[in-house]
Amino acid sequence: MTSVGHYSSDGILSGVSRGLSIRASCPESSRLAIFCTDEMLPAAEAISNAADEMSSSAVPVIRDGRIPGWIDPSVVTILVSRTGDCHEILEAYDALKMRGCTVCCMASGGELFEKESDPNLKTVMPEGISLSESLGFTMGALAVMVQRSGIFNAEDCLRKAVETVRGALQSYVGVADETCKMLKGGVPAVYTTSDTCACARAWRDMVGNDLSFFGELPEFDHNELVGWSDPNSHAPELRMVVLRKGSRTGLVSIIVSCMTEVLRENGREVIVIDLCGETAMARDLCGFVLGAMVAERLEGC
Amino acid sequence: MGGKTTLEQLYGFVDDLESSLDFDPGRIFDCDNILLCGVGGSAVSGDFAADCCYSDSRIPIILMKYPDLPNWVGKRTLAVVSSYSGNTAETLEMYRQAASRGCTIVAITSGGVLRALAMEDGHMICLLPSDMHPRHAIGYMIGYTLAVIRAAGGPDVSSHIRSFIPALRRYRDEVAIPDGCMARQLAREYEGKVPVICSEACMQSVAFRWKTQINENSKFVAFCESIPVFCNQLTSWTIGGHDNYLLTMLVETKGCSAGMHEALSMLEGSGIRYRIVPLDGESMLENMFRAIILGDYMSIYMAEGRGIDPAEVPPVMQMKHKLAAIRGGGSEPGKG
Repeated sequence: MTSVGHYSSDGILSGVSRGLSIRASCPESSRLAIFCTDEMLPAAEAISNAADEMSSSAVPVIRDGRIPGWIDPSVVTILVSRTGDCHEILEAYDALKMRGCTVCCMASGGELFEKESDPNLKTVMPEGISLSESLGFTMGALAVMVQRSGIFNAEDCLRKAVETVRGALQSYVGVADETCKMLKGGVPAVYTTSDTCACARAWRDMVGNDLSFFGELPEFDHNELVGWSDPNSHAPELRMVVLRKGSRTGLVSIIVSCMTEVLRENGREVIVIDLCGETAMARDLCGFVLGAMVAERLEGC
Repeated sequence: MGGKTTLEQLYGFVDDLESSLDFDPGRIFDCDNILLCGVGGSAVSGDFAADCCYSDSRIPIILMKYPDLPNWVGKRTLAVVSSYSGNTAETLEMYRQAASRGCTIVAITSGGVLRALAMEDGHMICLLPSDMHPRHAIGYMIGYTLAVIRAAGGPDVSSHIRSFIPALRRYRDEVAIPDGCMARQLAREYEGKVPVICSEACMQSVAFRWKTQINENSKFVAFCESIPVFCNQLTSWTIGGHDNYLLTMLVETKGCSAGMHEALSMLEGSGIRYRIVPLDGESMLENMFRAIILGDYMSIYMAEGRGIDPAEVPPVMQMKHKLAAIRGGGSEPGKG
């Protein structure tokens, strides 16, 4: 399901454009939550990250079928399932309806669409498209829905992000080639700062034919740094990748720089990649596209 | 670090937890959301408390491990800022931002800059005992965090926890102390392997704790996952046959989710190297504490097996020195 052959950089961007062009509706609300547990999760997390940066309301992502205690009928919920048959999402649907919540469904069909009879609460994900296009579509469609709900201008932000990332694409070709060479035959563990955690998860899904991991910075510096500074001679195939903000100012950037120095001083090579974009949305999208570029090359190796 | 040894501090976890359950902040917090700020060992308590309160809290409880607070944090946010040392750079930055936005703040710390700032600004301080290792102070930190959540209108789980304290002591003495105990067995099984700890989403904080304890005490790489999201990856795992990774499934024996059942069905006969760690407690909450006890001891025994001191973390000290050289003294990364 998550093999590298299903991802392409063109697919992600064309999927985003397709998602941004939908006529989605979403009831207005000051509180919104997204439920998702499948490969579309990075798209939901990217929207949530953008909300943290610019919205006056959080857009939490629930990665489970359980309903948090704070969700009540005032919260508009968006359920995302690529197939429409995800067990936890179907469970969440039933529980949310019992709670009196408004539930918007995004899927290609499946049992989720059979449960929801109101066409205004359904966003149809195109069938027969690649995982890349689905991921991009989900990001675009969610951005449209979140903006319609009045939470924040997610759609406008994503449109600007697409321009930024398209403009930088050519500059990443060499980066993708080099990264592919360094990851070939290895097990990648991808880390990024918490504000763009979606792209680390996306890399985990795309890159790494069978086994891959991801995590967040700067939390890493308080625990995983110790583990990674050991030779771990029983796992020589591990490869560490850090996706970071291009800017070198600010506490987090300083921390990330110090961290890579410590790792290198302790004999651990780190692949460090700068993400373009001034917003979390742009950096997450950049991370998605770059991950797909690397995945394409690994597939071809 | 003076005072008790690592093993003594681990042994005292249940006592620390029990004593902290009586803590009463002495006031009610009126807020729309609760932000639990901290990193490393000081974030574990927030992570754990958020899991405990997930289904019953009418107020959103959000973890923050990043020194740039979300835009939506403001006067209606209760910020619980935890740093054992009180000197962690990221946490101090979170404090400063929370204070500048007019948040109500509760500081959980043993001292340091955080205590000084909170005193100066008139915010509540939950004072932790000194002379403990930050990551082994979680008994106190979990209790204090839950008490603050309760005072903010969150659920009261203290009597439930109190009800299984004796069972936790028995569990500790059975799985963590004797020569052939489960903690020691697990430590031996992990020799030469990369642990990948998987739990249900309801106790993802516990899987994360196992990972970080292995990182810090045993000084090895480890990873964690949670069901149901991890089910997406399980099919891919079968391709490479990575025998040097040991997938560890933390499973509640008295009732686990359909997602965990699905994962276990996928694993059976798959060729993936995996191990089930049964959690036999009477409730999810009890199982979370059981798993913390087991994982903490297991990581210490892994360190013993390697002949290394679990308490020392040289790379974190390297970070401290580098950051101090760039930013000046008074802020120490990695001391929780």
